[in-house]
Amino acid sequence: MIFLFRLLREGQFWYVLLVIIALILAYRFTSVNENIFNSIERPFLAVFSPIHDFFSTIVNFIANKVASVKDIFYLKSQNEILKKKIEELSPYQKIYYELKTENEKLRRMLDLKQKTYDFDLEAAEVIGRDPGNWSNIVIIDKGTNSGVYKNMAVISEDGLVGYTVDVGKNWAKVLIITDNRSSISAMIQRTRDNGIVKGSVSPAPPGYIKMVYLPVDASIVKGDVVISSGIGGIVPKGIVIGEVVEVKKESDNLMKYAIVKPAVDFNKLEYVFVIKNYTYRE
Amino acid sequence: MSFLIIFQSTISPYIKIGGVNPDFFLIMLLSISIIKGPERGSLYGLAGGIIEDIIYGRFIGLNSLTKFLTCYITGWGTKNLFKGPVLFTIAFIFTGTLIYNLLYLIVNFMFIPFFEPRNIVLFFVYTAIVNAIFSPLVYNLVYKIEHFFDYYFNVKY
Repeated sequence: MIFLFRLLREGQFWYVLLVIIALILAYRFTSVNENIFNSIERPFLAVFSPIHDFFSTIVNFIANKVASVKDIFYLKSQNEILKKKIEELSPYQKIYYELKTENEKLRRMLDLKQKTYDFDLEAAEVIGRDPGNWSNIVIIDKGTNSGVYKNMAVISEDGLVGYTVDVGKNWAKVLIITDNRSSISAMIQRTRDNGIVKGSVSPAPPGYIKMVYLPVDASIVKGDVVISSGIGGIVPKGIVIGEVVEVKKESDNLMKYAIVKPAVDFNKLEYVFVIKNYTYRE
Repeated sequence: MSFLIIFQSTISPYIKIGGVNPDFFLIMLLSISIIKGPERGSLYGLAGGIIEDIIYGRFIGLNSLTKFLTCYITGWGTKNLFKGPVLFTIAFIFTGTLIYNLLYLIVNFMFIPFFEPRNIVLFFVYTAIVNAIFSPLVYNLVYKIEHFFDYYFNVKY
C-alpha cells in the first residue's frame, strides 16, 4: 500500500500501470494468436541463432578442452572400472543372445511379426538455453529447412530430451522434459505400469521429474527404468526417460508417484536427434 | 543486452552451483536499477524481458512483466539508500532475486493455468544466494560501464 501511495504521489503510478496493461495485452495477443508471436519471433531468431551458434561453438570448444585435461587424471581409474564392468557384463551378453534367439523362435512359432520402429532422425546441435532457472527450453540449429516441425520428439544417445514447441527455418525450440509445462505418457519397463511423467514439480527436486497416476498396487522399486509409452503420438514407444529413485503414495492413498532421475544429463547436452515422421509397425 | 542474454544462455550450464545457474542477466538488471533508479532500471528490465520472451518464450509478457516490475521495485526500494559497501550490494541483489522469484511465480499463475511450482522456499532462497555470490563482480562491472557512459555522453557544462 505504501508503495502504491508513493507511486501515486510521485506521479509514476500511470507509467507502471500503462506498461502492465500493455504487457497483459501483448500476452493476450501473442498467446492466443501464434502467428502474431511467430511474425515477431522469426526475424529475431533468424538474426540471433547464428550468433547463438557462434557463442556455443566457442564455449563448447573451451569446455571440451578443459574436460579432456581433467580426464587425464581419471583415465587410469576409469580404465579399471570399465574393465571390471566388461567382466561383469560379459555373461549377460551370452544370456542376451540366447534369449534373443529363443524369442525369435517363439515369435516365429506364434506367427507374430517382429515389432519394428522406423525413426527418421535429424541430428542437431544445441545452440542456446533458457538463461533463467524457472523454465527449461533449448534452441537447436535445425528447423523447417531440415524437415523439423512442431511436436516432434527430441532424443539424445542417452534417452528422451523433450519435444519441439516452436520452429523456424533454421532453428527450433525444444521443451525439455524437466520443464514444469512438460508432460509425457510413460510406463515402467519392468512392470508395464502406465503413468504420466511431468517436469520439475513438487516434491521432485530441481533436475528430477515426477511420474504420476501410477496404480497403488504397482510393484515399482528404486532403479526401475521408465520408458515412453507411445500414447499421445509425439514420443514413440520405448524411448528411455530415466530411472526411478523414489516411490511414494499420493496423499489420498489412491495412487502412487515416483521421482525419476532423467537418463539425459541436460547440463552436458550438445547434440540431439529429432525424430521425424516416426512410424510404428506391428 | 542481447549479447549478455546469449552469453548467459551458453555459459551458465557450465557454472551451475548445486543445480542452480547464476542469473548474470538478472544481476545486471538489478545492478542497473540500484545505480540508475526505478525509471531507467525498469526500462532496461522491460527491454531485456521482451528480448528473453522472444528468444526463449512462446509469448510476450512473462519475462517482460516480471523483469519490469522487479527492476522498478528494486530501483524504488534502494533509491534513497547508501550503496557503498559490498555487503549492501549482496543484500540488495539477494532481496531483488527474492522479489523476482515471487513476481515470476505470481505472473506464472496468471499466465499459465496449469503451472505447478516445485519446492518453492528452498528454490527461492537458493537462487537468491547464488546470485548474491556473483553480485559484487557484476555490480562493479555495471557501475564502471555506467560511469564511463555518463562521463563521455552525459557531461554537463
